[in-house]
Amino acid sequence: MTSQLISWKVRDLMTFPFLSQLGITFALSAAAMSDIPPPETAATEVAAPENSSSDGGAPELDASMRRLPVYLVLDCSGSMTGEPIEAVRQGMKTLLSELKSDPQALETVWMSVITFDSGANQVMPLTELLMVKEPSFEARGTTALGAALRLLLDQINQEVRKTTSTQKGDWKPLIFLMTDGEPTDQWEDAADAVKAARVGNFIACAAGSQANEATLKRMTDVVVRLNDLQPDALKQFFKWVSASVATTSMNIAKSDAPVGLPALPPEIVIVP
Amino acid sequence: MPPEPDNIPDAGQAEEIAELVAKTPDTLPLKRPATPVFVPATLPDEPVEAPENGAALENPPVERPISVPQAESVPSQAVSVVAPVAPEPVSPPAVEFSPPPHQTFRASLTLELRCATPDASIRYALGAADVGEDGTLYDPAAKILLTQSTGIAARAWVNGESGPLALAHFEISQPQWEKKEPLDQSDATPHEISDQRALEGPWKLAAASVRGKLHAHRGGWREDAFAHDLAPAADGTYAIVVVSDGAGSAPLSRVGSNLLCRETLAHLRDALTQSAPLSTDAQELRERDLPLLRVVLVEAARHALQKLNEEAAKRARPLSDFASTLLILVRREWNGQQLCAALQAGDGAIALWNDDNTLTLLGMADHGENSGETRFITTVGMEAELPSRVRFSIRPNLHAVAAMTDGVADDYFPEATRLNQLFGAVLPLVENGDAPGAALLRWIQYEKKGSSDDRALTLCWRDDAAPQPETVTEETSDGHA
Repeated sequence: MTSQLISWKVRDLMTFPFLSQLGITFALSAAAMSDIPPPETAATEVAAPENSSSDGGAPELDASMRRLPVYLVLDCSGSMTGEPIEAVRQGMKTLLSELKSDPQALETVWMSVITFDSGANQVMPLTELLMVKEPSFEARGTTALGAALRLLLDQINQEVRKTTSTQKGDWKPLIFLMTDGEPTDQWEDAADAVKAARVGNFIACAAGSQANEATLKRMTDVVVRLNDLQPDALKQFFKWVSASVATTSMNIAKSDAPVGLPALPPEIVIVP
Repeated sequence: MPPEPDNIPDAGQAEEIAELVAKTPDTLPLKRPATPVFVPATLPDEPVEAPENGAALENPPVERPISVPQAESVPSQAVSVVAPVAPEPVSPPAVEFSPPPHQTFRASLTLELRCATPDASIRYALGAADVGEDGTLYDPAAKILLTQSTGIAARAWVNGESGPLALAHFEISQPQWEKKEPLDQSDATPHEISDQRALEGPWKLAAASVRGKLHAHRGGWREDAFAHDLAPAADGTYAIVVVSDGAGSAPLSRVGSNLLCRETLAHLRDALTQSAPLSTDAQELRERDLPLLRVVLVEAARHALQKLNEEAAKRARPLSDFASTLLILVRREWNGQQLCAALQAGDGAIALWNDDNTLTLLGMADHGENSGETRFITTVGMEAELPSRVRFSIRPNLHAVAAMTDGVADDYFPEATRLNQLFGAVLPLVENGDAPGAALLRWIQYEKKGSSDDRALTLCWRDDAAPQPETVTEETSDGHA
């Protein structure tokens, strides 16, 4: 109570010299801030807040714009060759077309895709849902999970906005990671870093019999298992991701409770 | 895998294609629309030089590239129209569109162009009836993003020989926000309300609140609330405004926000009506009266919170089911100036607008690091903080005051530099009309992308056209004798 900012204009000080000694808290005067626009601008303002939506190109970000960042981190190692990687392609199509029929998702969801094989690659930077193009996936190489997690952390730090005095923060990111095998690189420190950073709502999916749930538990508490890599199972997984994103975008109204995810289809089981 | 359906168009498709061809010259503009409807990842390249001789001879027989497996849900289907002129033996087959254009797509579409000849270069033109070698070169890595309905013409080239024209029209529609009635009709609240009244002296009030488009789409209730009244004390009249925003995650927050507004107002009205006169002496005001006024505001908030606890107990529900913010603004005249006192618990904004078009924020908003993280009057620990959240301002030139929920305030973030735009927009509406409440209600339904929350805005302003209760004596310095 004693540490409150006290500032006002010179005229106020002259009018109310007693204010400066006042024991109780006072208003923070915006007029004393350096970046207040000149008064003339107020008379010509538009009738509603500016809407800096995209008109096709990269949208200019509005300081009041809040986004729901969704990160998909997908294993594209050689073991995904054939039907599994094709199922991932189809899953991505389903995910996008379902989200694009939801007006709330269209106004809030921004999506990024990170793939990993022998290395990690952000195949799509955080992009407004409307402007998302289906990324291309190829299955090859080994399983650089550690590299993927480090890239994920870097990109979240870079792309997701925190609330500052001049910028409205994004909603907490929603992260889905899917892997079908044991990592082949140094991943432990990256997993610990991701877990410690509490970057958002992180759901890791162990797909098929080769994926290790304990590995995934090290990066997040929310781990689900996909029983096999059959196209049907992967399709169900992407449908569930889509429902989760839609649910989250609907429930981002302010809350002090964690995000609730939709019920799991029979193909996916939660790992306790 | 099940056998693929035959790619030969059936009678119905053939008819559709014929119809498309017949319509094309009339319905498709020959020029591209002014707004960009596609985003190639790279700029169109220079035309690819055909390899020197020989390559054509090595042209493999027409077959599907391995990288394009057949998927059950998205069959790759030729929708091309074979040109009447018989193609040269070396010319590539028609370009195929994936996905095929036989459905309406939502919002935007990733379109792939494919040619059965692997090293054919594909050129396309949007909104055109045909495409030549000056058409945009298709980049298979970038694909094409369509964000509005358009026709597309595409041809493949091999060694300068063009394949037949493929024409298609892609229909893209925007998903619409719906307005649904809530299934649960208990504790019903109107989806929109507005109000207006004359306050003390030249001061007037207009207020409006609407259900946000997300709640309308989901069939939820409006969870914002406001209340206002006058408290005539012995030495002057207090104008009271209370605003509350129910938490989206709390199932009964519409009950919470309305109850908080009602109970806070009731307590303040009684306490302020019976309050002792304010001293006209500045020091006495500071040392005696303002601390008392602070106590009155905090007591009102505590009283409302107590009533909410009682309501929660009566319904056998936890207090968190009613989680809501609380913003209180009290204003009165003092020594020819305007004295404002505010108490804010949670997000939203309380703003003062001065005659010299400067802004003063009187509230203390709770913004978390990520959006959606805020606190409520019901949050543990908030009650103890209430005394430190009271703010005062005494201004000789106050023109208007506004208290609003974050459904409005967030659209003007950062408030300290952008809320002046709000006053600039709404003051002319309420000052120049007979129905300021209705005008404010119309305005508050502004459309803004990503802004889907409930909104509530209360506005009090000094109407200089209204008769003044007392004239302020001023030295006239201009030359009127």
